[in-house]
Amino acid sequence: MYPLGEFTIHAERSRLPERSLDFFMNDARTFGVFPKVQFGGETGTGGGVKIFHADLAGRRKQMELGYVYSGRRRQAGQFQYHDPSLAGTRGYALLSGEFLKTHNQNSSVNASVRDDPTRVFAINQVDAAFSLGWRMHTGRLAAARPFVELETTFGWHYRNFRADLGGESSLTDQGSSAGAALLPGIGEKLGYFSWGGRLVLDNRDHRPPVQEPPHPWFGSLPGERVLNVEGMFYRIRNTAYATRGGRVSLVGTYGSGADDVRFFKAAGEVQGYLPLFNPGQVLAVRGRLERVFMFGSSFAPYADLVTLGGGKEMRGFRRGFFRGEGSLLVNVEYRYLIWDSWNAFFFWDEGQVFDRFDEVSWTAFHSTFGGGVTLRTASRLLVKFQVGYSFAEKPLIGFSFAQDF
Amino acid sequence: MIRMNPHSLWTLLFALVLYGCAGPSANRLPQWMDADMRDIPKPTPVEEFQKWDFIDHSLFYPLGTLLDLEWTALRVAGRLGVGQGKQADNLNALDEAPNSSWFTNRHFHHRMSPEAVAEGPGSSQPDTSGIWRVKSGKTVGLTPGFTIVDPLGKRYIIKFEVGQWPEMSSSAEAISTRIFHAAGYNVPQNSVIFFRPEQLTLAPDAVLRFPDGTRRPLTADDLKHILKAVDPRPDGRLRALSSAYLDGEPLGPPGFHGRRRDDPNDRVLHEHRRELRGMRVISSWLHDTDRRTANMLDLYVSGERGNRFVRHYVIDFGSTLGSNNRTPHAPHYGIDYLWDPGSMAKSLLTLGFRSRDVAVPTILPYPSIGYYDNGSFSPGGWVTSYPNAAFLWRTDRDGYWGAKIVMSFTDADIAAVVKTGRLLDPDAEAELRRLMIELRDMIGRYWFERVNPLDHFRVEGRSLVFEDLAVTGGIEERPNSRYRAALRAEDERPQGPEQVMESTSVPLDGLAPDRYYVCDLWTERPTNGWSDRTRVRFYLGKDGAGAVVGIGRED
Repeated sequence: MYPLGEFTIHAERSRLPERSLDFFMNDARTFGVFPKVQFGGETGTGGGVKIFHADLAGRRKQMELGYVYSGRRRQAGQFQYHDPSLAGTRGYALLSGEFLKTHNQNSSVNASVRDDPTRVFAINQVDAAFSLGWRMHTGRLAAARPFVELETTFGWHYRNFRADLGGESSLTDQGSSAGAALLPGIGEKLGYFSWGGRLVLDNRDHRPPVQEPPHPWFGSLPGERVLNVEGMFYRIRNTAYATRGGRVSLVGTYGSGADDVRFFKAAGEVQGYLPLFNPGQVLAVRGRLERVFMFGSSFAPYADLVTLGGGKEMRGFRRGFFRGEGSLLVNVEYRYLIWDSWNAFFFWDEGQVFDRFDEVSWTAFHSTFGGGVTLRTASRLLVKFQVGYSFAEKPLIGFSFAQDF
Repeated sequence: MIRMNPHSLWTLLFALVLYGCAGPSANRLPQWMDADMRDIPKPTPVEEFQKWDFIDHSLFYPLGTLLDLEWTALRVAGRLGVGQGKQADNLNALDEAPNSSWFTNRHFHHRMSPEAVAEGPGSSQPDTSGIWRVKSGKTVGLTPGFTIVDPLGKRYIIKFEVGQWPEMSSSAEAISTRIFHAAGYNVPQNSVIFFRPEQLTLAPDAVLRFPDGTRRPLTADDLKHILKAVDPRPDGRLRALSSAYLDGEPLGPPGFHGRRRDDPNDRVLHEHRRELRGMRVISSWLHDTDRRTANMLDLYVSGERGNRFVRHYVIDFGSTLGSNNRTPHAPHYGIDYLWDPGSMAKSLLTLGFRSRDVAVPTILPYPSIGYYDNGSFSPGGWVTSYPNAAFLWRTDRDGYWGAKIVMSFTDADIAAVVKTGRLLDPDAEAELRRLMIELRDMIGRYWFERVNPLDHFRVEGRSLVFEDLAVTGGIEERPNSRYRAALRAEDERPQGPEQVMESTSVPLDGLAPDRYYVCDLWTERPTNGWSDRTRVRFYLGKDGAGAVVGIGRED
């Protein structure tokens, strides 16, 4: 018998998976405390804990707390409290907080100096926010219907960005715009408030309800979920593998605080999904424009400038490779099914950063391409493995557990 | 040590003398009984590990066979057309699986009436004339249900269907049980029943079982909870599937490869048993995609002479026809494995242009029969939900063996057996009947093209008589079929010229009696030309009668 066989049999006999969950979660599986291991990322390799509760006081309020320790000067934490339905209405509330303390060479703030061993930046930052929002649909069928969400957010932020090694002189790398190269706010401890809003229209993968059940339930992925409500069959939208529809989001945030921090950051994004020849073949397209506007002599801290690069955009470049006051991004992705819950994809990303709109040009675009595979469940992504390549860097291999496009 | 009672010994001696005097010698007569029911000590029960079974058969077993030089060489030779796969090991001289603790030759060799086919292993159902005592219940798992003891003291498992697919799995279970039984396999007595909840009473020692093995006393509220999930008929009765307890001591599943080492009767590796390899064809007909180790069961039973041995059962037919237990079969079932690296690689490399048409949404017009279709059915390529070792070893001869059993079910047989599903909608019943008939014929056409479908050979009135199963099965027209016969002596000397004929009878005039002969037969169809050869060895007696003593098939 193979060792794997012995282990599998032992696990099955002893109900190891269930008992493991019993160890970390309560019987109702609404509360859990999990150890957390992180490889790479903003703080580098480390370990921590994740605590969640999905039904606080039996009223479906949700709480999540996470912490990673990678060293005395490399730590990160998140907190989130979510009330998905304020007093039974379509309104919701979200209270969140994050802190990051790092001087890791692979962190976003060091992306521009990673090839320079004489320079390292460090940052301590805190973000706290309270959001109130409204959703067009709530309840059982919310995930089956087109989605409109309107949200306003109040926040407080703290930035302590400094040179850990090598001084505060301007950057010379090819990924930073002229504005970003000046390292705005370096050496200062900045606190500021923000207020903003967000509008999202999302009908990805929406199909009208039907009276007769199609089989397989949801076309391309047997096992996807459907709800039978009052004789009609509603398909839960699979936003991890949308095959039609699109999503539009508009976000604006005004920030203002001490030391001339004053800016307005705006972003608009459009996603579209076009079914192709065979079931499951999709052409996915995304376009995004982001811009940080200053007022007079005010500035936006370095960490709040717009970045490109990483596993979700410009995937052949490291996280934060490009930084500026504005960015333009286009992603084109061809996706196809290789199995029920597996799909492969090839992507082509084009993007550029700029400080003024008149700097935008065809020749300023940077290209990256690659491909990968994703493993999903019926309605969400489990893991994505991808390889991205650009002419500026060696191929980048990445794993991701989330998909926003 | 082989033990034989004196009565059997005298019978054998008598038979030897008899055949020595007036027929083929006894040692050349085909063996129809495998002596695998000898008295043995009780083997150790084996546990069932479903997750490991999936991993082992999806990954390690295929990898192991690939590294097995014999397997690989035979597969390559088969692909190149220069060899055949390894043939089954438990065959008699007629290329048949003898009766054994696994299998009893029934419908193909001993024609059963449609009523007998529908009767199955016995129409044993709980006696509804009195109270049923509920002994245990389960509220979780694929289907809710409980165990009862009827007024006659017989124990049954009662399973319900819940959800939006009424009748689907219970009808599939009842129908497929009967098909498998008529085919020759040992199966439990499964029947669709209707009963009134008032018939139920709790036994004092009734327990409620949980999947983790724990249990507690079953209460009236528990029983109500189980029954609440079941929609009653307008007349207040509940529909359920009853399954009679099998006699014997459970020993766990036998597995589709290897053998039970502590069972001296279990001498043939399971993957080389004809009835397990050929089962793939019968399973393909019934879309029995869940035919895996967990759905087989060994029981330590008592024979008629008090001998104790292991009998092997095929169980659990809830994932057959259009049913996958609680939901209809997914359309890709039967086409690809649940985890199929080969298909995945093809999809990956063809950039998604290898279309899986089965993924196109389809309306299911008859919820009670689920997803059972012939549009994408491939008789030779049909697969279970994950690899089944015996099915992987299937050769064309095994396939032909399974196909001739499938083709032995007439339209009337199918109509009778479909009725045992007790479907309310007559249109659904008609549709299921139509699909079963069409799929049966697809199987017949496929396998009868690969192996010359001449069978039921016998020597009668100085003729060698046979049946063309494609013609008797109605998938080929008699006028379109011709046969070529070449008679030879046992030492291969030709006995006259080759004969081409339209009848299924080869005259044996002019052959000297009391000798063994060989007859080579080929079949010609307009579309396929001449088939591969079937070689029949027979003994010709003085009175023109005789006996067929061997059949060899080329594939």
